[in-house]
Amino acid sequence: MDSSEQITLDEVIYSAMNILEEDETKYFKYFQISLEVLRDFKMHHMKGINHAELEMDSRNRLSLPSDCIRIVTIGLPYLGRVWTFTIDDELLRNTTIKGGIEIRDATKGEIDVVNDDITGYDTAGGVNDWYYTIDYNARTIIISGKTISEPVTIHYISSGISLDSVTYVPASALLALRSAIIFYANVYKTDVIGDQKTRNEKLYKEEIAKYQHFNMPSLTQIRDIYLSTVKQSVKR
Amino acid sequence: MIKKQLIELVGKRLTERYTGSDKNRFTPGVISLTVGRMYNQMITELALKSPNGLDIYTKLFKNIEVAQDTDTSLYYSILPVDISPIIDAKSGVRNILPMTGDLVSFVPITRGQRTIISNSLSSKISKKIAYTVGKNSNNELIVDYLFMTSDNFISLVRMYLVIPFEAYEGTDDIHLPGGQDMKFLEGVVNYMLGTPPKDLKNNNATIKD
Repeated sequence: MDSSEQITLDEVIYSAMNILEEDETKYFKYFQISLEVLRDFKMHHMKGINHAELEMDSRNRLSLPSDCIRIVTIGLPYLGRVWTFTIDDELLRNTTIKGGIEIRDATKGEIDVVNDDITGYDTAGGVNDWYYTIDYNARTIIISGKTISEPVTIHYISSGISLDSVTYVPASALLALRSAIIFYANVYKTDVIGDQKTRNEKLYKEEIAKYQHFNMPSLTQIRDIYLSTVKQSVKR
Repeated sequence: MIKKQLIELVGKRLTERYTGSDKNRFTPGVISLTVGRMYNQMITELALKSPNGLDIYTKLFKNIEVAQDTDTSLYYSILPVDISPIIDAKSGVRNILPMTGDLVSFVPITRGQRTIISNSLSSKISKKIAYTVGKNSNNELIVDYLFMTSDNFISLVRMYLVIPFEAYEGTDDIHLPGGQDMKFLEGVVNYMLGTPPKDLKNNNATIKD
């Protein structure tokens, strides 16, 4: 049987600790570094988009998943794809508190954007039924537009860190993650000689480059992207 | 070597070498105390030199209960026996394992680390239980557990402890570092006879032909 492509973050941590001959009293140090490294990898090196279906609350808001670093797509399912909403950072983010409950007060302009424009030949820009803005500080997506009764689909980049269960990472990223952990574990230490730090950094960069190369689009995917941009005529 | 035999062996060697008239000078109690001092010192020196090499000098204690402190809500265990105070995070508590299975891991930390870890992201998602070794208000030796909750609570644990010589039973096997048995025995005997250790330094003395 082949080994799994998913390994736990702990396996990566223990691999790094094993190489450095660290004992278990250092576990939490490496655990913390690994969490920071994983988040960095998710933002800059790893592919993979997470999917979630979120129920909107009475104030037309969605709570961001706890592991969400950045939103890629927000929309509603339509013919097998996601009908995306349009970002509009001018949407009002505030709500009014009445009787201890957060509500939207129409007298203060806290209403849904209703777009009555009709798209015509001379209309500039697109018109959508739904608009959104994201308040990352409040971990909230604010949606404005027509009433939505079904769950909203979001695609997002995850931190990869699971608060509820075991955190898994791709096995193909083991060496890149491990070399990053070793690099960051030593780079600020004063008792590690500069030469060793340079070697760690070199290895870290090499492993990142290898991992990125491994994740490049295949030749077929690149051909499809290219062909999608050119017009083809019927072959007779 | 069995603890009782070790004490008897030292007693026998003392009798052979002692030339004085005070025959009651070396009672088993006095010998045991002296051997204990030497043994504890040897373990401490070994721990400083090679802290990962203490496994063979540990004794397993099973079915140690985990309780919850009503004042702090923290989980803890009272150690069943005195431990050797080794200068690292584990002290004399070298390993803790669940009584059955090994799904939960215990990681030793210092109280200083505890403050840092409690305020970092790792505290929110750690699946491991951290522990510190110390004393409670009744001056009992305890292990405090961090990140143990009602969800991952384990009622019984087993511990590998480094214990002082005095805490061993008379029939317990006492391990001395390999090849150093004689050095250890002679050290105890010489100390009890008042023989000063050999001066092996030349102190820059002139080399004579």
